[in-house]
Amino acid sequence: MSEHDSSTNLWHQLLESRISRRSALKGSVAAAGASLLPLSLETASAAPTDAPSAQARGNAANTRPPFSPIRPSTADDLVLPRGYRYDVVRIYGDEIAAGQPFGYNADFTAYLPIDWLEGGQSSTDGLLWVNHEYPNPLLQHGNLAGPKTPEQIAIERTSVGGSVFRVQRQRNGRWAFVGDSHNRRVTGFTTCRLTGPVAGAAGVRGAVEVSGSVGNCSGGITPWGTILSCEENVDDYGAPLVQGGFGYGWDQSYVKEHQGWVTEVDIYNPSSTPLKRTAMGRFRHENVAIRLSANNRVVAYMGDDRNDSCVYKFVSDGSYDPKNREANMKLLETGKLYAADFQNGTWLLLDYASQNALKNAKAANGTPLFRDQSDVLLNASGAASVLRATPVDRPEDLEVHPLTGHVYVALTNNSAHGNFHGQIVRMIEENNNPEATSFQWDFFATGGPQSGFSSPDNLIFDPYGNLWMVTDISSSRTGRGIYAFQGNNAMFFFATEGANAGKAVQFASGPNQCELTGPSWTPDGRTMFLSVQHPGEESSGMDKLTSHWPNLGGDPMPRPGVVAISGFPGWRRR
Amino acid sequence: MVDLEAIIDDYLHVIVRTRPWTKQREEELLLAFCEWFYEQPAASHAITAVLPATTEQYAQAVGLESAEHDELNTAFYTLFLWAEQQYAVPHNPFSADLVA
Repeated sequence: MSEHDSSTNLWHQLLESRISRRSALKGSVAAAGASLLPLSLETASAAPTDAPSAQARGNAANTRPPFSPIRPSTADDLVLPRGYRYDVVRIYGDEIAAGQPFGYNADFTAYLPIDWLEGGQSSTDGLLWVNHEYPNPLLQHGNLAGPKTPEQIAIERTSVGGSVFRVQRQRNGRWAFVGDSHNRRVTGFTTCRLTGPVAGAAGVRGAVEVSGSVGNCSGGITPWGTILSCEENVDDYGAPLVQGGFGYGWDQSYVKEHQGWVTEVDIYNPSSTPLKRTAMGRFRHENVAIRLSANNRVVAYMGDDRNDSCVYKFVSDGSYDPKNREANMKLLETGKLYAADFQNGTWLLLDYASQNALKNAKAANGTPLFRDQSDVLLNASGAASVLRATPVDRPEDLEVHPLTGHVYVALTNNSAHGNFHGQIVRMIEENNNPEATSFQWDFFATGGPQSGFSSPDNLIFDPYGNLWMVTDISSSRTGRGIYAFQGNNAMFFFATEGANAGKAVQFASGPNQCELTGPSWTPDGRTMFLSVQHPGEESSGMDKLTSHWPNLGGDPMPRPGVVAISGFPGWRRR
Repeated sequence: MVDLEAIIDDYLHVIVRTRPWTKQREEELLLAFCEWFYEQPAASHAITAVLPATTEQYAQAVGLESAEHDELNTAFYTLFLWAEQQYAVPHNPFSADLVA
C-alpha cells in the first residue's frame, strides 16, 4: 500500500471537524465547512484545558512569561528580550577534544549535571550533548559539482553525529567550554552497535556493528541519564552526486538501513559504544519524549518527520529501577511499538506475530512486504500504513507536559495540503495511562498571522508546564509572502493553563536563514542552551552569503553553533 | 499516483540539506511551473504526467528563455532521479537529454 494514498486527506477532515465542533460548542459561527483547506484558523483557538490539578492551580502565577515579548525581526542575530543575553559556547570547527572538532548544524542539546550520577543537580557545571544533523558542502569545503575527494567526504562525515563536552558557568555569569576527559565526538565513522530485533537481521545485511550515526536531529534524555540521539534524514548519503544529483555522494557502500534509528549514548562513560535501539523502529526520527508508567515501564513518544507520516509510541517490556542504572541501560532493547490512529483514538500495535494484516501485506510486485518483526521495524512507516494509522502533517517534536502528562505534538506544516503554518495538538491517554491503547486529542495552538507563529518544531516544557517552542519556516521563505508576519525563525512561549493558554509570546528571533533548535534547561532554570542551526543556509555562493552569524572576530562565514542564554529568573523549588 | 506538488515539497526538503545553494532557484523554477501546470485541464496532476513535452509547452506558453528552460529540465531530471528511488516512478523521462 502506498504511504501516500487518499487516507492522507483524512487528517485534514479530522482537523476541520475539530475546529467546527469547537466553534459550535463556543456558540460562534461555524468554521468554513465548505472547504477543507486552508483551515479556518481564526476559530482554531486554544484548546479548553482540563480542570487543573491542585499542583497546577498553585502554579498559576508562573504561567506569565518571564520576559517582555520582542517583535518579529529580520536581523542577522539572535535577538532576545531586554535583560537576556547569550554566550556562544561552541561553533562549527571549535575543538572539543584533541583533533576532534565541534560538528556542523547543531541541533538537539541536553544538559546533564557533572555530579548527576552521585545524586547532584549542579546547574553551573555539567556535560552538554549537542546533535549535528547534516553537512553543508558549500560552506564546509566548497565542492559543489562532485565527485568529492576522500578528504571532502571525511570533512562532511566527521561533522555529523554528536558532541559531548563539559561546560561551566563562570563567576561573571558567562558560560564557557571546559576541556575534560568526558569530551568526545560521535561521528559518521564511529562504531555503533545495533540492539534489539533487527540486530543481525537480513534487512541490515546481517550487521550488528555499524559505522556511524548520521542525520542526528532532535532527541531525548532517559531517566537513567543517557542521551537519545534521533537519526532522521539518512537516505541521501550514499546517493549519487552526478549531474548535481540529490545526494551527498559519500560512498556507494553506505548502507542506509544502518541509520534511521534512535541511538543511545552514555555521555558519562567516554569509552561507551553508542547503541542503536531497533525495537523503537526505523523512520525519520525527530525526537523522543519519555514518560514512566505506573508500572515504571518506559514509554517513548516519537514522530516521523515527513509530510503525511505518523506518530508512534514505544512501551518497554521491562521496568525502570532507579537504583540499577546498568539494568536500565537494557530497557530500550525490547518492547512494543505502536502507531497512532487519530480517527479512532487508538494505538495500533506494530507486531508481526499478532497482526494478520502485516503478515498478508504485499509489495507492488506481489512479494510479502514483511517477512518477520525485523522487517516491520525496518519499515515502520510502511507497517503503520498497512494498519491504517493516521498520516498527519509532519510530526516533528513531541513532549510530555510535566504536570498533566498530556503529550504535545508539533505538526510543522504540510504545504502540499495547504497547511502552511502548522498546529500543536495534545494527546490525552485514556485514564492518563501512558500504556493505554486509546487516547483523545485536541488542538492546543494553530499557526498563522492570527496567532503570530508559523511552523512549530522543537518543544520544551518548563516545570510550571509552560511550553517553549521554536519554529522551522523554510529558509527561502522567512520574512516573505505569507510568512512575513513572523520575520526570521523564532522562539515562542505559551502558557498551557489559564486565560492565556495557547497564546504565543515571542521570546527570541534567530539569524538569517537559521532555525533555532534543541532548547534545554539547567536544573535551576536560569540558563537555556539553544542551537543556532544553518545560518545562511541557502547562500548560493561564498560571495553571496546570506548570514554572517556569529561574526566573531569579524569572521564573515556563517557558523552553526550552540549558545547559552542567561537572564531567566530560575524556578522556585516547592 | 503521487501529486506533483507533494513530491516537489518532499524533494525540496531533501535538497535544502544536500544542495542548499541551488534550492532557492530550483524552488522558483519548479513552483512557477506548478502554477501553470495546475491551471491546465488534465486528467491527472501526478508527477508522471510531466514530460519534456510538457515543459516545452510551458516554456512556449510563458515565453521562457532557452537557458531557463534548460534549468527547469535539469531540475526535473534531478527530481525524477530522486523520485525513482523514493516513489517508484517508473522511469526518468528527462534523462535522455542529459549525460548520466
